[in-house]
Amino acid sequence: MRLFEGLVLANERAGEGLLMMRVRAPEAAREARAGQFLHVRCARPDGYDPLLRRPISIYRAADDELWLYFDVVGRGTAFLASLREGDRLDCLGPLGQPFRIPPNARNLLMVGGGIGLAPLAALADEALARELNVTILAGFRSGARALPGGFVPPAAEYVVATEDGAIGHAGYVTDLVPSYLGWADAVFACGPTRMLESLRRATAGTTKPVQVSLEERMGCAMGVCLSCVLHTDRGLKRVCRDGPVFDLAELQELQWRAA
Amino acid sequence: MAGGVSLATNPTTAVELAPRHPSGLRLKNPVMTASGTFGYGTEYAKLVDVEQLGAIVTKAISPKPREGNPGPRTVETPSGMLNAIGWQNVGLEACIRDYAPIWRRWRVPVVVNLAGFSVEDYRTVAEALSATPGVAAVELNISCPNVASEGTPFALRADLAAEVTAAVREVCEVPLIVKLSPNVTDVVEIAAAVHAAGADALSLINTLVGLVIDTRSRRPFLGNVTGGLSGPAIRPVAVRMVYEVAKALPGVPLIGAGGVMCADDALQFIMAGARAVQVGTASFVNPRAAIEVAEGIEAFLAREGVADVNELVGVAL
Repeated sequence: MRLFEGLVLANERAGEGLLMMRVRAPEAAREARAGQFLHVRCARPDGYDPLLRRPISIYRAADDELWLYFDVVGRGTAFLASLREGDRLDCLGPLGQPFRIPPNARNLLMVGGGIGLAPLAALADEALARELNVTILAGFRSGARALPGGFVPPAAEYVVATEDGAIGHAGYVTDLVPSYLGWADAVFACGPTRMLESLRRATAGTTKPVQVSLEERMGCAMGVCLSCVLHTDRGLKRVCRDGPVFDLAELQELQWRAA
Repeated sequence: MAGGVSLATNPTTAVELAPRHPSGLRLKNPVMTASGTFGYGTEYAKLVDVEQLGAIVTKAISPKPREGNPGPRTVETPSGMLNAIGWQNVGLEACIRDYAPIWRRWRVPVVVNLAGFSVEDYRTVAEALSATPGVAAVELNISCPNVASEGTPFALRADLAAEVTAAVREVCEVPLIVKLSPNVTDVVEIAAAVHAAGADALSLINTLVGLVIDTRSRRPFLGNVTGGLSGPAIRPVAVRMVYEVAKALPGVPLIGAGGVMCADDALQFIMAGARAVQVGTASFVNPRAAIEVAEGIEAFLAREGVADVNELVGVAL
């Protein structure tokens, strides 16, 4: 974990409203583990609006580069979308607990919704380097938002589901889970809360490990502001520091809600 | 030196926040962290050299561990944020067992922020912590807008604020700072009452109560409904309140807090009458913010030929 300025190498469209940013950051790229994230400034150095950093999952960490796959949803990510080659990105990270591949697992099933694919792509890289079998089930709202297969590690099986039915399975990505669950030794997922709730139902009763990476609003991402806490079987946990990767079984809630 | 610029190469940055207390509270520079924005100090210690700070103020400690408020607990606002964490903390016992031994080894004073729902709560934590090695001072948090005591928060009424300050003073061996709320009509009246009741120093301001509505759900965004506004958006309000108190109570050590992002912001508080500042929300944006503020103050003194930061305290009054 460090505070550093990355050099933006490219910031390219990766589906409708989505971008893939490549950042040169040799030390952080060496340090990063699959499932970790960067907390990035979304304003000019002397700008205070938007004030807070945004947590962005690391899509790939290799060759002195970190790749960030993000959805332009608000003012913070709009700032990120405005960055061009040669710009600097103020980063804090890599942060958070990474995915843990169980020692005896051979077949890894990864289930991603939208930008939830990001930490799974990093995990696929790690798993493929260890010669494990990887199937990525990826869900998108529409065909236009689907991540082109060229971004996905070629040795991984890449199965797409779209809600508009334009590409692949017409429906939710979690519809596909039951037919792969028997094959899988472990399941890894990241995506919107609704997708994770469906995954919980789709994997109910399985004894296989299911790890999920949670997307949550954060303040500091250092474990001090206590914005991103969740109830787990081990008590209140911070998504930024104790997560973002959790065993699905230990999560009593998938999102910190108003009582 | 006619026509020349005198440069103070090694300006003095040390400040004394508790001159009437036997042990005092001397900071090597006037920059502290603000409670709730720097955890227990240990979280940021891996990333920054915390010993470069003037002092660390911890997350509020209550007699028993607390889980805090339901979420969402924070929301970003224009140049600021609202928070309603609700004093989630490890509690007094774990604080003394797990953190105080670490603080004792650090060459930076650690000020523990105290939370409570009653006079007795505050006395309990103050008495125990003031007897704990590693705790340099305590800061009485009577102004948190998120957790109402029975009826009015202590900080909103001069008589209640003075009562709890006096009660804590009796059992508190270390210097006592009392943190004031901005959500009052006359902060000067409360500041005077709290100082008369035995506070060594006053810190101001705590957050301003605010509310954000989520127009999609048509409900308040925060689980707690309201939250405390912090960040650069509140700085001018905070500087004004420090100025008012400094003018009315000359000589009372004041600690300015509210939206300090850089050295220039801190210098505004100092010139308005604060001997020290607290850096809060800025640490979320930049974990080195407090250290950079301290470095920037020193650079300003050198550049302007000011030998001692204390010369600037209240110069704008």
